[in-house]
Amino acid sequence: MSNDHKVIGKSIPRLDARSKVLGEARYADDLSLPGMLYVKVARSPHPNARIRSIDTSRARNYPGVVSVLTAQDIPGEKLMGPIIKDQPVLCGEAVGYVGDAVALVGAETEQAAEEALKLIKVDYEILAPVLDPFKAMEPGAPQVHSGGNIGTHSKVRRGDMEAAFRDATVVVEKRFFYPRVEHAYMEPEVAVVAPDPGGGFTVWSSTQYAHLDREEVSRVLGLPQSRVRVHQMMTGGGFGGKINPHAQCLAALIAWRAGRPAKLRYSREESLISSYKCHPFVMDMKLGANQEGKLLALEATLVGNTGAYLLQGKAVITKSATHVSGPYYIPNIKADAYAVFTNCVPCGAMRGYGVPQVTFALESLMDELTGRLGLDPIELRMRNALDTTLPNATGQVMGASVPIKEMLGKAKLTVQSFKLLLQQAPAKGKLRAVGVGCSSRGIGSIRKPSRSTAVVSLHPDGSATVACGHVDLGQGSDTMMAQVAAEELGVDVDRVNVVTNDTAISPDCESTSASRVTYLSGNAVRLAAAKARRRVLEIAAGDLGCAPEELRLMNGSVVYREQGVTLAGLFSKHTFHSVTSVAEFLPDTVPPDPETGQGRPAGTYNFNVHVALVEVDEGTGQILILRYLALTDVGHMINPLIVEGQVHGGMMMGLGSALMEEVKVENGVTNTSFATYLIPTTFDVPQELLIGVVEEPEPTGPFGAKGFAEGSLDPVGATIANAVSKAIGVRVTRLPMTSERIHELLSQR
Amino acid sequence: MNITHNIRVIINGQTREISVAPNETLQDLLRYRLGLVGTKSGCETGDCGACTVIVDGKAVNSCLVLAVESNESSVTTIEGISSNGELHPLQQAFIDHGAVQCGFCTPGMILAAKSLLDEDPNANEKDIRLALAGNLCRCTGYVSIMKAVAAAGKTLRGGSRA
Amino acid sequence: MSLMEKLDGSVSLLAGGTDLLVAMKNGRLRHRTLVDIKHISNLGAIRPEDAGLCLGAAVNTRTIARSPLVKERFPLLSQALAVLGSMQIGNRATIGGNLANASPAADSAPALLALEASVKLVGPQGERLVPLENFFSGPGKTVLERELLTEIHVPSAPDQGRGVFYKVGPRGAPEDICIVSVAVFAVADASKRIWTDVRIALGAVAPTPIRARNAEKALLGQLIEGRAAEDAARLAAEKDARPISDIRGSANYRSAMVKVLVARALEQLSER
Repeated sequence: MSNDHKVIGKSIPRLDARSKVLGEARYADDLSLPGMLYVKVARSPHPNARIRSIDTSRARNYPGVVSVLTAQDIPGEKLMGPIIKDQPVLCGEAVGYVGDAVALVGAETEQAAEEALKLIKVDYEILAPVLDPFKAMEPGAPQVHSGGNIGTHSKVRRGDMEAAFRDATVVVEKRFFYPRVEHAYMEPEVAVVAPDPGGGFTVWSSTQYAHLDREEVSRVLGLPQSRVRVHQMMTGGGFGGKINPHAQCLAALIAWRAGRPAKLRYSREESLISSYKCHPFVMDMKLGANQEGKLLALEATLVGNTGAYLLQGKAVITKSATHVSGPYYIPNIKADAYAVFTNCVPCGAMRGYGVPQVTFALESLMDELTGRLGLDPIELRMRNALDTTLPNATGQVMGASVPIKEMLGKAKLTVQSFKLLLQQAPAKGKLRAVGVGCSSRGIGSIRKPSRSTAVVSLHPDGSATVACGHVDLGQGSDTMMAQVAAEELGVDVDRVNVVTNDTAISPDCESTSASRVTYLSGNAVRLAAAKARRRVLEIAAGDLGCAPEELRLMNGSVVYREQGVTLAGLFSKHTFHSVTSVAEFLPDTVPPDPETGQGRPAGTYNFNVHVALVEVDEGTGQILILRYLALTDVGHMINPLIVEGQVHGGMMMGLGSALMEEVKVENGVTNTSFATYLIPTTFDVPQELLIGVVEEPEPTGPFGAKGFAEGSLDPVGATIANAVSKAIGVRVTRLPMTSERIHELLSQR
Repeated sequence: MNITHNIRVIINGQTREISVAPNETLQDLLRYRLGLVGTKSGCETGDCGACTVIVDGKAVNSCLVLAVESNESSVTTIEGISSNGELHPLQQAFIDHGAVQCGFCTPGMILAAKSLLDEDPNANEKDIRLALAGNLCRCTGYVSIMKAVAAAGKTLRGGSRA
Repeated sequence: MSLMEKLDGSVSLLAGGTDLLVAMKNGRLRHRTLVDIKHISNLGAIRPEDAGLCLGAAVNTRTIARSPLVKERFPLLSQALAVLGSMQIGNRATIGGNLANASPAADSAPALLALEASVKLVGPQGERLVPLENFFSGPGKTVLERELLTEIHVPSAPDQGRGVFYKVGPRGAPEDICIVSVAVFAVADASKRIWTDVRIALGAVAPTPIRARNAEKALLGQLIEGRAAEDAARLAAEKDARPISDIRGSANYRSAMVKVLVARALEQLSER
């Protein structure tokens, strides 16, 4: 792969950084429209109840209140959801969890709306809730939905399990627990909706998927999608938690009824209680290997508590099942993954999407095997690592860009250097150890393939506009698109305008999620830019009497040998004002078979190998990360500075679930502020956090690039747990590793 | 009974006389009445630092300061640290070091860092870590942020190593 | 003082606001009136007092933590207040407010208890000086009766005395509410190698911050190198601490941490 790029591979500061450091970037709550109403949501205090009646009369009469709405007022569809529509926009008959939305108030001031909320009287028939997924699967459990409490069941079936376990010299088996995690984006949910004079609506929102905002808002209002336009405002983080546009639909209802702009912003408490989370998993895993450490069989039962509504549960469960064997070749696999309904807060997409969970379980068992086989952790992984000839859990063989062995080799050097630090006598009462964790992830949505579409317009002065629907959440995708287009079109990056935040202009590419944007939309942008370039060069070639291959596009001119023809001149001669091209990219995939999980579900895979040196305080159980190495495989770096930022961020988010984060539900969510839901601070950054990037180009990726945004989080829990388990001499089976839990394990020794 | 208080406050160098409600926070005043929306609202309970502003030289969570309490005080927001389009060294350093992703924590983070460097121009890595512990960030993992602050500190000291 | 006379349940005193405003926003406190006490003269100063200190109630906790005078005379207090909260919180929170809020986990309390501080309360009936140990009466409750806490007096400590403060929080971050905190201030007779004066204060393991009197008794006159420290740590955990389980930790873990931290503190102090 040529490293001869002008713009690709350069650490260009992201294009919106200046507006952000100046405080000029506009987020949805920064917007204020004339006549705007403030919306507040009445939410259920019960995890399971039937609604007998809702009395809104006193609320309606509160001074400043303009609208009070319940489910019966919804003009269009009453249910929403990204895969199946099972979540009530407003509950009419029953509530399924503490925080379920029941009624809306729109008022002239936020204070009036809050006061009026207290005057809404809901008569609930309280029912017994079921909060534990295993209890929910028992006969006789309260049914969260009429179809039963198993929301989805994904399977992987390959080989002969009985025979394989019979042949195995060593079998290790354990139950693992991964916590329910809150996205904790710094910007809580906000949506502003206003009616248009023409009868449509405009939405300004904090969102990961503007076109889904459009779809759900139009459905709820009973309008065609063409009548709703969505502007994604600068969005303060998503991490999977801003894909489902509930706030947008609620604000839209008030805007529709009142005929005025309406803003709904969730308080942090409201967001912590009612917004959807990452699935907690209980995982039973059994791993068998032969004497040489070759993995023969993997059996897994994965139970994800999806809460009251399925949301992306089906996809998360499918992803977890199809990734159950991680970056290894395991010939015989039996995996059953379930999304179980309970009366807990619903769970859906969150960075990782099932892979961090299974990685924790699998990598822990790998280390159990090393203990039993007397093998070094890196060596065991090396013997089983995938390569370009071996199939992963879905049977897919990736023909290129499978650098896991090379990465394990690099990690081995780091393990050795970390181990030197182990030899220095630690302080009294401190236990130190090194741990390793790896993971693999299919890029993009694997349950159903997703297509990206991009439009590139080359202007007469050589500047360009790129329109593509994957929104930037701060991870830098707009900058990536600008770099890709700039490289193809031979222009400077600051002469490329990227528009991803307007549903009227940017084509729908599905959500910014699944680490997919660089691979899918980067490709679409590249293809569209290449198309525009080719078109221009063909036209010019006709004029110049040469072959298009002899021409180059450079900074607003077509260059032929020493001459240049300006685009302005070329275009006007051929009646173009700009040259606009559209291109699509759909990876060549086959979704996993529902019975076997076999298929070819991803266009490319990303691999990660992490190493941690930890120190455990024997007295208190507190964990300190002294050194950490995150090795990631990106195919080709489009922007090294941005790659580094993503890996730091993913690693620290993973550290959160590993050490301190857990959404606790007792009836409802009990961590209702950032004082009780704790995320990492500067204090939690390891003394030394090293990043390593491996570039083995992905032939089907734009300039060889693939995705890696979630990959940097996937193995963190596993890596730290492996190190801590080694240090304390007891296997950690539950995350997060709070000091109390570790203290408990230490006392068991 | 709608009581209001008249306060005199210097915001980003400009003296303002404003009538405020008793329960109006400084954050409310800045964001919703004065249109200074650079100061962000992340939790409103003093746990995240997104609303950090500098009052009389000290970094504070504006969500926990009542507007009336800022009477006769000098307040600096993110809008007030660049001059004539020229970025403060912290702002430049954040851009250069990739310390800005979604940007929501950025104004608060920059102001917290500024108050630290104003108080202690020789702040080292430990000082920076401690001073920024009250500013949560979910995107960057803090590494590039701390690097940027250290680099800005160096620039402000005139490029010489302390 | 005329204002203090009018204090009733609907009026609160506003100092730093870092607890009060949160409580108001949560709806736990509903007021018609707040009285801002920050600008009352003499409440905002740190003054030397013989070899000790007088801290005005309205001094910010971070100011105290960073004060060279406090660092010099009472490094234990400086150490504790440095981790009371984030920089932003510490720039607003006041020492008087932290004490009057009377959380069992108040970070300023263990160090001040170990330093045997007293608080001056001023009311319509006059002034009184109350040992801090007698100031707290329950979780969130104090002996204040329409009074204003104006000053904290920290008496001079024995020259050879040394202190140490440990806080176990869910993260390492200063803004964490502690799971357990321990402050120990001890004086040893260097030649006889015995403890002559030991104050052990515990936070977040009882309805109020407390002195671990049983543990202290077991140390007086005992050999530093002996088993007394271990016994004292056990007594502190079993007899002095009365922890509950909450979202931050279980009672068992808290007891265990009292034992670990008291033992650790004594060991560190015996090494000096």
